Amino acid sequence: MKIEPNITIAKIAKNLGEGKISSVEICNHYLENFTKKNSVFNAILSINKEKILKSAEESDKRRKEGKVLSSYDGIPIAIKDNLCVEDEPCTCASKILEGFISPYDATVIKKIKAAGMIPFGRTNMDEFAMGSSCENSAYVKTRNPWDKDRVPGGSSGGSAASVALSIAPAALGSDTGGSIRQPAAFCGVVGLKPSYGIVSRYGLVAFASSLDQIGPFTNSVLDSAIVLDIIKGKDPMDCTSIDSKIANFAELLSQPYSIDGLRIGIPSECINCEGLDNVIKENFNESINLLKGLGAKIIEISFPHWKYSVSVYYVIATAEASANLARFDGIRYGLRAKTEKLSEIYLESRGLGFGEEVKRRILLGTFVLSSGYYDAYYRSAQKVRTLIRKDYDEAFKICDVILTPVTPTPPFTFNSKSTPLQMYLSDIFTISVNLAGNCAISVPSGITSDNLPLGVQFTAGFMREDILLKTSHIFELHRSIKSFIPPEN
Amino acid sequence: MEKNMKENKIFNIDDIAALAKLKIAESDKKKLMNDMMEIVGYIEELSKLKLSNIEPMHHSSNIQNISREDIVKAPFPREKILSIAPDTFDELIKVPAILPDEEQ
Amino acid sequence: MNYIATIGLEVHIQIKTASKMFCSCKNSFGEPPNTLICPVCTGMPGVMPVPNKTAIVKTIMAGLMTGCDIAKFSKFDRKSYFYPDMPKNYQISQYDLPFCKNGKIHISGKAFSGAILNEKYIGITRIHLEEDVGKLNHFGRFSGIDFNRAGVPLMEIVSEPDINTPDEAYAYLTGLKEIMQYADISDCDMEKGQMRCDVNVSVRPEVQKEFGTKVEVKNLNSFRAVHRALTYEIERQIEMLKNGEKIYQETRGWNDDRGESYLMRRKESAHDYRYFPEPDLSPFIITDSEIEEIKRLLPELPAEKRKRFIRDYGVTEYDAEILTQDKFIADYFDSAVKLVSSPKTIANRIISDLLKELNDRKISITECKVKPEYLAEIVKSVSSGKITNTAGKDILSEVFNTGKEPNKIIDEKGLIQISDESSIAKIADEVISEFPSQVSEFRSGKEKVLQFLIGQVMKKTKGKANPQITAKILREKLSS
Repeated sequence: MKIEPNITIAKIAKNLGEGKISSVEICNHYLENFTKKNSVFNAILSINKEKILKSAEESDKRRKEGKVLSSYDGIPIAIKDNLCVEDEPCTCASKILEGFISPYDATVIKKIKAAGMIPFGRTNMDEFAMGSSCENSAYVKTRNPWDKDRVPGGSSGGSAASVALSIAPAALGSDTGGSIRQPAAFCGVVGLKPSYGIVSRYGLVAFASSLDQIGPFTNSVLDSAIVLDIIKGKDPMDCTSIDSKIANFAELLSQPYSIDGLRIGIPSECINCEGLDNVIKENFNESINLLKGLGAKIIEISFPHWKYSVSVYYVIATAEASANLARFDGIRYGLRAKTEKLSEIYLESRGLGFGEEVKRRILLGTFVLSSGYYDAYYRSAQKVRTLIRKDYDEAFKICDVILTPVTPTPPFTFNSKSTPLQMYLSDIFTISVNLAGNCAISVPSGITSDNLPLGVQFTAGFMREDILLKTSHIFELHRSIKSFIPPEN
Repeated sequence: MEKNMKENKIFNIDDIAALAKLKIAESDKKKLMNDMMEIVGYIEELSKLKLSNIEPMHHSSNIQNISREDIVKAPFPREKILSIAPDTFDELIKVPAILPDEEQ
Repeated sequence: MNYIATIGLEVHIQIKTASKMFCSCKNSFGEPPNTLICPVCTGMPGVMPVPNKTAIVKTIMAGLMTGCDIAKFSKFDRKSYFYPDMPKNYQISQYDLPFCKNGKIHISGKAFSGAILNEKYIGITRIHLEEDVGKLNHFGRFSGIDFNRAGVPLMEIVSEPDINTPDEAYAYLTGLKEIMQYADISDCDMEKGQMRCDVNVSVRPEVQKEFGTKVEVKNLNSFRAVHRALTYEIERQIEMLKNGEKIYQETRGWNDDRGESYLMRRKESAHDYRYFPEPDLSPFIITDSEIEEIKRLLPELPAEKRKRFIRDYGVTEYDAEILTQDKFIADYFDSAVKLVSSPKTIANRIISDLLKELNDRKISITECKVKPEYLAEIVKSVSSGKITNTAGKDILSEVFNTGKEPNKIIDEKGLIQISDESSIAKIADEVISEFPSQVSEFRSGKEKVLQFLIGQVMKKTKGKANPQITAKILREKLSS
């Protein structure tokens, strides 16, 4: 059976179930695509072909014996290099974890393995998830599948590119301030950030503990619901995890519904945002009209504290990161600098092992927590965070979902952001969702005249993945461009 | 000029790098300092807001009292942890001697 | 010029739980290095903490037993600093909202030095919960880290600077230990690192209102070391002040062998721990009904127990002190006393014989083979006259050695006392005829000689003759 480019896992599962294809064939197909494309696009940092094929064989054996673990048994899924898989490397695209082999499985990995899915390679990322372009990887630069001179987005750029390039039919990434949604938009795939707590963080190398969430990259909204169903759930190893109200989101999407009368909020601050590219504006308006045409009501809402998002985010995220990254010291694992003095081990290992952006963020985080500055910066940021959350809660009293662009510009070229601050400001549409803890999804919405993909972001209230997925599913069904396949494929 | 001097007083890169145990090469310091100044200048807006009646937000959901029963689980295979250590000695993780001025 | 010393104690106590504070590794001392570890307590990438409920409950119990206010809202915070025994280079601790605040410990009675303490209360500023760090083993040119201890639940108890003498400090520590042992919160064995103490001490002239500069002293491995170190340090500081020398804020270590403190480091500036609320843990909201539930878990406090022993069993205050010095001894007494009719006999047997044996053999009452039922049996056998008091002591030793039931030993060794008057009379006659000079000495008024004659009867009966009956019979025979 020929596997079409950017095929959905729903379709693969159907074919597996009907015996039209085997897991070994599927994995070989994706391994071939990996061989063909990865040296150019650098989506994947490392891969264990033997292990993958062995798992595929075991899956086929189970299927033969009628003992499949789930309908998705035997389907590969690429894993961002900050998610621990037992006995596999976990570098977080950093030199400080070069050679580190994880001694345990993250909870989400346990769950995907329990469903029979196969971890497929370690995808490239910005070092320790700090970045919006994948340019901060200590190893390689991932290229945008639609244009080699452009970034795939970050920090989960490798995962997004893997799915866009059909190196894997799905991938897991992490989102702290937009690290799933932005690369999804830049690569023309679906990227979902679940509500905070719905997916266990145990085994995700922490960047900002109160903001991080694991989520899927897929070729369709339904696929993202499928993966969400597999990875979600309250975990006794993660105190901040909670059970979603809905047991099966994929099933929810199979039921008929319409969005007639659905209230879609458009923040006025977004539309009037400085630096919003015309191409984005146009496509955004098109998306609004599409939804209007389906019966949705467009409601203008206001986010008075939105303008502080970037500041609040960079204070909180870097503060938490400065503590989370303290454990990388060359003592118990990872890179240890060769030196005779103990205090030098810390300084040298961290000096050599961390890249520039990581150092910047650790310094900023250390600063905002330091004596004398805690109240002015960290405590203030946590208070403004309350206000941002309140803005969302107020908005959701008068609308059901919120629609915004994902990024202010289409995918940019390498080295185009002249200062770190410029890069931070490009996260303006995605950051506030993490601050509030709500769920959001990036869905491809258009292609520019330069043949670059664009996306729109739907945001729903805390734990409202139901309405989020339903709305974005319908949007995807009715948008003018049916499929997003990079010329590469 | 004056603004920069004021900001230099707030953000002392040597002190902060020492707290964070980060070695910054002399050649990198100037650029890093400029980057940090720009960022700190941007986040400064937060310190000027009037927020006295607002509670800080620490968690997205209303989780509380999450704990576990005092039960011992099967021991984790220690080789998995010791085998990835950079240096060991007799099942201990080996480090250079701690000098008196490094003592806690 | 008189000087006043001001002392504050910072005590760390390991909580007795089955598992560690934030992971399910075993909480145990003395096991081979790095055998009680997992990704969480070794700070691997991606791991997360989950708090031990029992550790929280026991911390609240400690607070209740010291009269603290229990926080209605509490949380954990990250305390950041780099050190090789720190798996994450931050310790999960509590900063501004600890579980317990504003308690106190009552001290009174005889002090360590032998003097009588000024009865007073020592305030407890706070009790908070945190995780212990790993253990560093030093080998000269390098050190080795053992993470078995990393993550063990640790209570930190900070006293108010209400302590003014080394004796008071010692009494405070004893009071804390008693409470912790009683409530089964900790065994407080300092040799196993279950209780650690750092002191802060300053001196000032009596006329000066402000406290002097405080000096921290660490590495104190016993209550006695605390006493010695404080005595030394107070004297040292007073000498310095008398000589017009400035005292700097510094951290000093204590060398118990040499009996002196030494400079470890000056405190130029305080550590910046950059505390912030632990984002991986939920806050804790403790309701009044939950506190009531925990109150029901509290044991009878030593002071209350002493009162009860005096009231219900009629033991003296002195005896009550001895019987309640150790929770296990008190429990032992409580069990044994129910099996005999006279509490005083059991109390005496415990105090004069049992405790001595335990001391000589260097074992604790929980390790000894003499079960309360056995002791009761011995006491009853002596009271009823079945065996002599001396035999009773011998049997006690035997049970210590073998763990055998006293009655079995009595049978095996034929220790049943001879109380039959006619048998004793026969032997008495023998003795009287064998020792005529002593007999006439007694008849001429030398009372003491009777003991000799009783002794001879004992010799002939191999110690089995009932001494009181023997004395009676001898007197009867000798007076006629």
